[in-house]
Amino acid sequence: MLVSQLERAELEARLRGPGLTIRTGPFFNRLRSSMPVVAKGVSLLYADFPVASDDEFVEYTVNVNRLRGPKSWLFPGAYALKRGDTHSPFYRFRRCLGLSYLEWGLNYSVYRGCNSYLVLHAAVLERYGRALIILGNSGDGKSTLCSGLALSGWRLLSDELGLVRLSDGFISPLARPISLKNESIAVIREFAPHAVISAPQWTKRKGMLAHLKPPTESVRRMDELAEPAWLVLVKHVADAPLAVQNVPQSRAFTELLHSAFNYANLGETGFRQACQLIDRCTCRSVQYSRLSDALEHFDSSLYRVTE
Amino acid sequence: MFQNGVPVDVKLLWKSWDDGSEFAVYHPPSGQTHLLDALSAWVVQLLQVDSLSEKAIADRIVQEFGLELEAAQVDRYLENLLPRLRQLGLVAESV
Repeated sequence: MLVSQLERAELEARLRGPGLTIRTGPFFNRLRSSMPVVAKGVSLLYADFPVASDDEFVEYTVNVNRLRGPKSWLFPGAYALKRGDTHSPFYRFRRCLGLSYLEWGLNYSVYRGCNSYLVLHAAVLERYGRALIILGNSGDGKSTLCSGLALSGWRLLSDELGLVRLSDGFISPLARPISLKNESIAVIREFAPHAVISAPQWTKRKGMLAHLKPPTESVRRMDELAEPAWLVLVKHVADAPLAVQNVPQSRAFTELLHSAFNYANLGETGFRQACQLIDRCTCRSVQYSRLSDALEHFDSSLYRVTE
Repeated sequence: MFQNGVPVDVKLLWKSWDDGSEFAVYHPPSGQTHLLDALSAWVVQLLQVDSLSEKAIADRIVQEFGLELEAAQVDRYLENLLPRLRQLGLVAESV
């Protein structure tokens, strides 16, 4: 059963009660919230995801609910994000931001709690069975480019968390909603008018924030792994021409380590996987201003498999 | 005279890229990864095999790459390199 096949009342009841258990790639997640804005967002963005039974073992539980106890006297009307069943609330926010904090909580759970993969802060897409790994800091245009590619024939594996399987170095999909910020919301709306995007909300830390629903086909193929083939360091520079350069593997390796959340936890295994990933990839830097220029570059023969 | 060597119980992991001009080395006791240029990596790999005095290391460098290097340059290079390698735990000093 998919989330879209649940009646809205049933979806809300599960979120309010035992939790809605959904599978996102290799992980089972239990979502709990009594907030209508969360139910609406889950219904919109997670429509294509499979629902699992309530007694399924889950890796991550995220609770987004009204703050309770003495802290609620200090912060009336505030809501809180909790990880798991026993953790104290670790973030307070306004009601309208419930969906954003659910997404953040799921990301946080993976990058703080997962050591069965080398977890990269990266967007990852697939074509011809090969993975394109995009590294970039916040504000470098990673999610804008990722959205454009995911809406142009590339399969979305992840917008935020690249999962490198430790046994063979293949990338495991985690095709959850794509987080769009500020100008990128309008850019993607103009590029793909029919794309499903949640209502933008203002946040203090990141400005305007909205989420793009992952393409149905990417969610349906969430069990198909891809072999890394290209690693790109991306940077958005306003009014600059498209610039593409080959990057020495040693620099790509350094950037990869900076992007790996759990590299230090994995010891020798992490080192070997990071080295193997660099060996498998052609490494480039791509600076872009206009999304259409970048998409044209990624549609070129440089990203085709010739064997 | 003090000898310099990679501790025998430290099993370093190596990887080279860019036609052997850059090396990554993983140091298991600290869990840290370091990037080294080719000459620094050559010195550490030499000290994995033998414990050598600073003078002996300088001689081996001149012997290996000597035509382009002057002895004083090599001495200055090692004066900077060896303390750094000791600090990182890649090399230890013994009597």
